[in-house]
Amino acid sequence: MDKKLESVSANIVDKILATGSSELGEMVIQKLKERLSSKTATVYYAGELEEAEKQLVTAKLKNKFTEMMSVEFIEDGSLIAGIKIRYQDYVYDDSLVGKFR
Amino acid sequence: MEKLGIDPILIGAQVVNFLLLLFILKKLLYKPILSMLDERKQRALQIEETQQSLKEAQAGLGKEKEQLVREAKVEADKLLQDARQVSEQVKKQIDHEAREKAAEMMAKSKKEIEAETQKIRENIKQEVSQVAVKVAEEILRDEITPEQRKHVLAESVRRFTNG
Repeated sequence: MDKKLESVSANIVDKILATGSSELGEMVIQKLKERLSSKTATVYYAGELEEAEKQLVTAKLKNKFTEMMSVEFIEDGSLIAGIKIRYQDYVYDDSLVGKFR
Repeated sequence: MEKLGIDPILIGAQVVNFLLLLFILKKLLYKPILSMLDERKQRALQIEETQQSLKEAQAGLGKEKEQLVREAKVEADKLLQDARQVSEQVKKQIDHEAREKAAEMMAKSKKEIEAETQKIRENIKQEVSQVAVKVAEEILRDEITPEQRKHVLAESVRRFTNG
């Protein structure tokens, strides 16, 4: 991680802790999670996804959605085979189940 | 005459008496009585005449009455005939309208039934497709091998990254 970013994060954490309020800390964590989840793409897959394939998909998504912050990979056997990607309103379904339906 | 015991003076007196009596009776009794009898006779005649004319009038009325009754009967028959005709016409009209209404309702029911049948057919088609899809999914889920799954996944990733 970038040293500047590390230092900024540490500062923020210190300031929150300095308030002495654990509630504030929890609220901040909750807000961060909400914001991060809205900036997180989810890739559902059925089968075995190689690391290289994950990286290819991640790169493609970051190229497509520049504001996106992270990609989450979840195995979902109900798809039978293939992938299904969801990011905010965007849905890409290339699973076998999706083809049936 | 004296030997017979007949007194002419007495007879004369009796005759005079008699005539006097006759005269008096005629004046005081007979005339009024006779005139009264006459009157009665006249009245009786009048009554008879009146009765006769009443009889005639009655006979005339009777004829008139018969005529009126005949005319009334003819009128009544005519009215009855007209009423029967009107009733027949109304009956025919009602029959006709009822048949038309029945035909209309049958046609409407038929359309509704057809629409309902079509709807049911569509529903069945949909359900059958859904079942078919489910069955196909299950079969594929059971039959697909790990290698095939891996191949499909790789192809999917390739399509996404190249697309």
